[in-house]
Amino acid sequence: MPTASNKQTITIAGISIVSNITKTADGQIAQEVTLPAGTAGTLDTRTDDDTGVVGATGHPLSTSDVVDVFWSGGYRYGMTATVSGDNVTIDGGSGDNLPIATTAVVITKRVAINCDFDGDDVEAIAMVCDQRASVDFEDSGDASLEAVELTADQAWDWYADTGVTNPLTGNAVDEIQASNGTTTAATLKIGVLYDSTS
Amino acid sequence: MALRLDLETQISIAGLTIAGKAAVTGDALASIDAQIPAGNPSATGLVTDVQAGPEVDIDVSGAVFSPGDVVDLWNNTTGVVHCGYLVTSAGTPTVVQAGESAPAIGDSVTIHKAHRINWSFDGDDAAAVIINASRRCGLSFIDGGGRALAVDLTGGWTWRAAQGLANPLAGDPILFVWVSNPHAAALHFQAVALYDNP
Repeated sequence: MPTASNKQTITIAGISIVSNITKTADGQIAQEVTLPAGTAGTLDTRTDDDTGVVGATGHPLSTSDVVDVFWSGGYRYGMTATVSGDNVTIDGGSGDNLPIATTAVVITKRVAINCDFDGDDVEAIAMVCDQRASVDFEDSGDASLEAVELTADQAWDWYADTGVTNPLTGNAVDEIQASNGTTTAATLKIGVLYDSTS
Repeated sequence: MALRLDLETQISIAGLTIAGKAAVTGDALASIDAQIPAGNPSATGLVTDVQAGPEVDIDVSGAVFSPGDVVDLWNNTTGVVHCGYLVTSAGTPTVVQAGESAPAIGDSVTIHKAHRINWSFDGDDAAAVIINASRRCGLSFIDGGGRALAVDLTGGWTWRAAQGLANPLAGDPILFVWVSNPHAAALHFQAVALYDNP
């Protein structure tokens, strides 16, 4: 039976703890996805908390693309882009309110990852990206179930039966939208271990 | 000066290796490094009644426990640990109340008296809580209002604020924990809470 294991080593103030978590289940999913680099730009106009214009020379975006926007200390995901030359009007989405105008940003088109599982059945889920990234778990109606901002090279993980609330309960995951928060191409890894039988 | 906790993670899941490093900082630290001895009172019996609360009647021969003892019910029928029950009546039957989940009538359970460990911190201020037990044990976090969280601990347990998962220890400050050791040998219990002073 598939097994997920997590060995963690912590050190602090002369204390060292090695902890091990092991989970088994019937099913497993692995995703290893390249996230194209984003484009550096500036929030030239801030209309309101979720509307603005980004100037991003040489961006690859098209009107109606769904993009994520990153800046130091925040990010906003699932915004709709309207392109006019190097200017990209961004609107809507969720996450942090847009920062003040003139803030340096990275704007990135989301990558849709076809990945289906029911979060209620998950025994373990873990992911990591070698660059700052956004990962948004969506249901079949494109509603966000859980949005996670990944810090480069820091693992994000959750395990069943630990008392930590399952972040993916409710509707099943139908798709994962991910984006790269930097101007360097990235690799995102997502592993899921779940009970596939009932 | 801030304390720094270094966390190194090595996860194996669905054929992927997810490795990460993270540094967590906080103002203060509450840690435990304890050997939980074997040999606390225990008794095996059959569950004869389950009432709301839950209140569980267990057919135990003799008065092994005393009212006020905190016990975990290790379910020999299902394999589940029902943590943090309070003995309200000793003898036959032994009546226990207000624990985590409940066994079913007819289940065979082994009742283990838990050990109290004084480990105090406010979960609302926690930046990271990391635990490891060298053997499976029942773990109950106790706050001023009673039990805050109960976990069937099979090894490691981790929560970090930066992951964005709901804090399972939010609410009243944790005052102490109960740990049951059903094994024939001592159990090594290590725990760290790194937190910010409000």
